[in-house]
Formats: sequence, structure tokens, C-alpha cells
Amino acid sequence: MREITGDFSKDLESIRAIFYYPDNEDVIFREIYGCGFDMCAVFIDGMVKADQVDEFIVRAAQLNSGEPKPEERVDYMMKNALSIAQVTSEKRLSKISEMILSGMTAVLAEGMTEAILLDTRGFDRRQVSQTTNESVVMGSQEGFVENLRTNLTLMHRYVQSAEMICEMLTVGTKTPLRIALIYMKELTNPAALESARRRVKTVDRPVVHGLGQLEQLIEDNPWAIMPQMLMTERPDRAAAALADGQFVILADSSPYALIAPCDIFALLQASDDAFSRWQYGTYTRIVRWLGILFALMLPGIYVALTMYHAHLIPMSLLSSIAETRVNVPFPVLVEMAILELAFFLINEANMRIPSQIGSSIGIIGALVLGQAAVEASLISPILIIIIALSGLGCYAVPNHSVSISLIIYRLALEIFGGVLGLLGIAMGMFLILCQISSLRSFGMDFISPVAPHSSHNPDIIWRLPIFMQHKRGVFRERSGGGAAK
Amino acid sequence: MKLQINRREAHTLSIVLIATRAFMGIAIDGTEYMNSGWACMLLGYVLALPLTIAVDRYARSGANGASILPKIAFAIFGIIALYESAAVLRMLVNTASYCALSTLSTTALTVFLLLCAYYCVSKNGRGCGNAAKLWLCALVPIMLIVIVAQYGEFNAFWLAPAFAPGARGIIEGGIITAGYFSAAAILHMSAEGEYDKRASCFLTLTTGALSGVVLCALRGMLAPAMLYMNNDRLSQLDALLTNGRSSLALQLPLIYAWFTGLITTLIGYVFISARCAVEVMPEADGRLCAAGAVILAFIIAVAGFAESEWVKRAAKWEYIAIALPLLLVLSAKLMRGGVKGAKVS
Repeated sequence: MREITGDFSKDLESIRAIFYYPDNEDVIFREIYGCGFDMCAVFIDGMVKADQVDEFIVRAAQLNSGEPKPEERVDYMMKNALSIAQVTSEKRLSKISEMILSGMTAVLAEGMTEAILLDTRGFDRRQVSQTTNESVVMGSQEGFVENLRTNLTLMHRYVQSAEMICEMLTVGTKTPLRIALIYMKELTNPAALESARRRVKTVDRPVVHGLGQLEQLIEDNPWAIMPQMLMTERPDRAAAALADGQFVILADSSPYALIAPCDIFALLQASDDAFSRWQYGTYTRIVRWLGILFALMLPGIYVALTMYHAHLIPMSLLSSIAETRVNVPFPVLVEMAILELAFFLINEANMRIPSQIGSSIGIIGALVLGQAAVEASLISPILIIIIALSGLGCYAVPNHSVSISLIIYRLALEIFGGVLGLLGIAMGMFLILCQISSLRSFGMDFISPVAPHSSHNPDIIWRLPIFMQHKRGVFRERSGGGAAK
Repeated sequence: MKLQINRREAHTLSIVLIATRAFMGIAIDGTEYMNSGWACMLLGYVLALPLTIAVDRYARSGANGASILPKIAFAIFGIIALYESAAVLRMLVNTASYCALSTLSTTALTVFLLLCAYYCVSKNGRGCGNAAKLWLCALVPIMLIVIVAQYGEFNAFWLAPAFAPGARGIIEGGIITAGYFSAAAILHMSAEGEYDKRASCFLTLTTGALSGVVLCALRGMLAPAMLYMNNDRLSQLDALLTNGRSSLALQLPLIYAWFTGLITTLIGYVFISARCAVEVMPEADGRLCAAGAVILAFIIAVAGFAESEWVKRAAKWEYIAIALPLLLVLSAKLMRGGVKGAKVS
């Protein structure tokens, strides 16, 4: 590992080589004479507050008249010459370059065997603003932003406790991404934490692009359809997770937080559930669970019933289904596939299209396309109702990854229903249950505390009154069940 | 893969397994017990009780050591579970045929079901046991819907005469159900971890048997015992799933519950046979054992050895075939003086 030697010109040359200077014109080498010796401030243009560098590094060094001996220079500069609050020294060239890239200023000087690193970070950043995907009626409106420091400040504001620990780590062997592992000292399961540290340290990708990729690299079962960690853009939700004994991972350039260990019930809960009165919270959860059932099973059951078990449909409904399908040239399964595809296309287009013309996609999709398809007898109106209901059910799920998982499961159930009727639906559902039941999140069973049963607050399916929820750190004991690998 | 199941997972899986299998054996295949199936189940519970208490008392950790006897016992249990897998498989295929899937090839249906069972078993005890627990949670509202929807159709008088098959019939039914209930003892014997009183074999048997009794009584109250009707499976399924009085649409949750119960039972039996194979050959890979169990179950099922008549004949000996090796294993342990009381967690 290469280190600072104390030979000013040689050290400067090493730093220049690391940054491919002068090809790379973004890196500024500001040579200064002060304190009786030559020094150089190295920083990246635009990543630092220029006035801080001018005033508290360049000017402060130039005006200082002390002439310390070479071995005392680091200490002298840090204490007497440089007027920046957060300052540290570092020998390793790799670490120095990493810090310069993160917006700090490094000062190298003749005779100094360490570089002084000064926190002058001042790049443009987005202000803390409203959440976009997890809006709530009651409760905080703040969301995470792309800046790690700002997000950490938010966490400190929401959890004003000395127990909250923040460990800084990096992932990515070529382009390190700074991440923060945050947990409550006494509430988080040590085995789960150790597992998280180990998984982060063993990521051997050259570049990790944000939390979305990190999640895939450190989750227990990357082949599973369901996500095993909760991603939120709400600092209050991350703070609540800390109190429950979960840990939170924040990363630079990611306006989200990853929460783990996590169970399926947490993935299906919305922040609003906790803020509203318990009766409303319980009611909305029941509606959401019904939505999930619709999203998952309704099209599959429709396919199964119409293809194999028409005798189970009440006669009046059966005759109206038959009337609407009389001119449709496709079998139900094909009809369903066409409509599902159209639905996904509209959905995908709506997400990618500029917001100014986004509403027209809804109109084209829902009214024009739907109406035309029905009039052309390509699809039956009842199927539009079925797909619309299942689509609405998907949107009722507060977590985007879970809602995509539900769509994939739904497609599988449609095929099962089309091939094996109700038996296929029962089989498919059991396969889904089995797959979800076998998952773990950092050593914790994914469907606990239901299976295996463990003590918990009455906040799983029913959201009972707050005064009945007196357990803290419920995830601590639950995540101790299985060996977190 | 190491095939394993802990006590809680074994507990939930066994509850679904024994309740469904006993219901299938008594209410569908055992027409001669008329509407006294619930009484047969109660007797079966009493007969199976000593086995489960013994399994609880003598934790598995001390039961199979280096001795050859436990291996022989597990080999016998494995064969029984294999045969039961084929029997449940046939019932599933029969039900599917009844429910308008008669156009689908029986072999194809069998293959689909066994692939499903293999996938679930390869998810290990955690996947199967926890899925069974979730299914139990879902079953309660489904059964409530079934009961509420058909409330007017239940007639308690159809349970009378309470002991219509006579003492001999009820004893025979009791022995048969005791055989089905003993599957819980096998699964608990092969379960890992310390004894857990909240997931004891006794509790499993009690919950499973009581569920079976309730299901049998509900079934008995739906249709009167008919002495001269066709006693084949399809007629019985017809009486169970479309009893002729309530709206057919109301049968949807019942059919779904019946299918899922049978699928869980099939998976449970395949798991037991694979687990027993692992007990006999500890070095064997769990997935390989599961694949072997699935293939053998397929052969038994398509060869016609798991048809109703065969299954009914075999069922009379199942209790003895399980109880005897189990008692031998425990007696051998007693003679060696190595029995330790199980640790209570």
C-alpha cells in the first residue's frame, strides 16, 4: 500500500498520477507558501466550497508566520494554521484520493509524512423535500435525498439517542461507494449486524450503483422473487425500524434507506398505518389485504372457473359472461394474456413518459384502447373489470418491488389456472407460500412472527392501539432464530 | 442439501397432514363407517396417544444413535409414507377428475403434482412447515365462509345413530385412523431441535385429531348416511363437494380447501419418506432422497397399487406397522438404559 513519503514533489507527483493530471482538469492543485514551507491543497473543482478553501486554507496558511520543524508540521497546521472544523490526517494514498473524490481537500507539504484532510465538501445538492412514492396524509413529509451526509443528519434528527450508532463502510473495489450502517446499540441483533458487515465487505464488484444494486448483492436469496429487505424514502420509517431492532443502510447518491432484517408483513405495511387511529389503520390494512388477494388470485380464478369449472359460477353470472364472450375469438387464457400485456404496456409507458403528457397515456390506455378492444370483440368487458381490479390491488401495495412480485405470481397463477383449473390455483398458491416461507432475511424467517410464531406487537395484520404495542426491539430476538450467513 | 425439519415446523405440517388424511380415509374412503367417522377418529386418537406421548418422552436425539434398529424402523416408516404419498396422489387425481378436469391425462396430472411436491420438499422443512402454518391460518376464514354459506344445510340429526357401524366397525375405523394419526409420531421422531412443549407430538395429535373430528362431524351433518348408494370415491366426493342442496357457487371455497389440504398432505408424506431415507442413509443428499421418493410414489400411483380398495386394505395394518417398530426402538433404548427425559425448552 503506497503512502506519503515526506518528499513534497514526489508525493505531489504520486497524487497527480492517481488523478491522471493534467489530463483530468477537474482536479485542482493549489500550491501555497505559508508557515515557512511549500504546501499544496488538492481538491476537485465543484465538490468543495470554494470560499472555504480560499479563506480557511489558502489565506489562513499564507498569513501564518510560524515556522514549525518538519516533524511538527502536521500537528501545527491542524492546530494553528487551518481553520476548518473537521480535520484529520492520513498516510495512505488510496484513502487520500478517496477522500478528495468525496469532496474533501487534502493538504500536502514539504517534510510532512501525512496529508491533512479537511472537510470542505460543498457540492450542489437537492434540498430535503417531500417524498414522491411514499406520501402520507398524516405524519412527516420529509424524504431522503441523494446526499449521504444530509440523510445521516435526518436520521440524527429523528432518533435523538446516543444509542444510535453509525458505521461508515465502502463497497466497490474500483469506485468505492460510501455507505452508512446505522443501528441501535442495545436493540439490534449482533449476529444480524455482523452478517451485514461481512456481506458488505465481501462484495467484490468494481462498482456498486446505489442501494438497489447493493440490496441484490447482500440479500439472503437473490433467486427469490420477493425482496427480502425494505427500501424506504422516509426517514421516520427508518427511525421506527431502528427502534424495532432493525438496522438501516444509507448510501451516497441514493435517496432511499435499506431496512433489514425484514419480514413480509413489514413490506405490506404503509407509514400511514402507524400515524392514523388504530381503527382506520386496521381498516386500511384489511382493504390492502383484499387488494393483495385480488391482485394475486382474481385473474387466475377467473381463468380456472371459466375454462374448467363453469358449473361453480352462478347461472346469471355465467350467462352474462357467456354473452360478453360470444364474439371473442380467443380462448380465455389468450384473452387474459393480451389484456395483461396491454396493461403492462400502459403501465410501463406511463412510468417512462414525460409527466406533461402522462395523463394522455391513461386516457388512451383506459378509454380508447379498452373501448376499441371491446367493440372489436377482441376482449370481453368482464375481463377488463377483472384486470382493472387486480391492477388496483397491485397499486394498493405500498412497496413497488412487492407489487412487481405480485404481478409475476399472478401471471404464474393464471397459467396454473389455465392448465389445471382450481387444482392449479391451489397448487400454485401452495408453491408461492412454500417459496416465501423458506426465505430468510439476515437470519430471520421471512414470515415470522406468524411462522414460526414469536412474540410481537399486535401490529401484523390488525393494527391495534398504540398502548398495546409496548415491545421494543422485536426484531432482535426474531432475527436470532436462524444462522445469518 | 440437508433435509431437516424442526419441531414447530413438524407440528404444523403434521396437523394438516393427519387431519386431512384421516378425513380422507374415513369420510371419503370409509363409507362403511357412515356418519360415525367422528367416533372412529376419537378412538383413533386414544389409540395413537401412547405413541405420541412416547415420542415426546424419548426425544429423537437418543433414539437412533448407532443402532441398526432405528434405521430399520425409519426404513419401514419411509415405505409407509411412500405408499401414503401415492394414496393421496390418487385422491387428488380423483378429485381433479371429479372437478371437471377429466379431459386432462392422469399421468400428466400426477407428474404436475409430484413436481410440485418435489419443489416444496426441496425448500426443506422450513418451507413446508411454515407454508402449512400459513395454510392453517388461511383455512380458518375459509372454513368459516363454508360453514356460514351452508349454515342452513347442516343437520345435526344426520349424525345419528351415533354408532351406526356397530362396535366392530368403530373399532376398525379407530385402528385405521390411529394409523393415519401415527404419521405425526414419525415426523416428530425425525424432527430436530430440543423438545418444545408448544410443539409437542401430543399437542399435534390433539389438534389434528380434533380438527378431523370437527371436519367429519360437519361432513356428517351435510348429508345423511346412505346405505345403498354407490360407495366409490367419485360418489363420495360428489356428496362432499356438491351435496345437492346448497348452491354450487358456495362449494368454491370448500373445493379450494380440499385441494390445498390434499396437496399439503401429499407434500407432508413425500417429505416424511425423503426424511426417513436420510435417517437410513445419513450421507444421502436431501434433494436426491426427495427425487427418489417422488419417483417411487409415481410408480406406485400409476401402477394402480394406490387405488381405493388397496389403500383401504393397507390402512388396517398401518397402525401396527408404525407402532411396532416405534415400540421396538424405544424398548431397545430402555434395555440399553440410555433413555433420557427430553429437555423442556
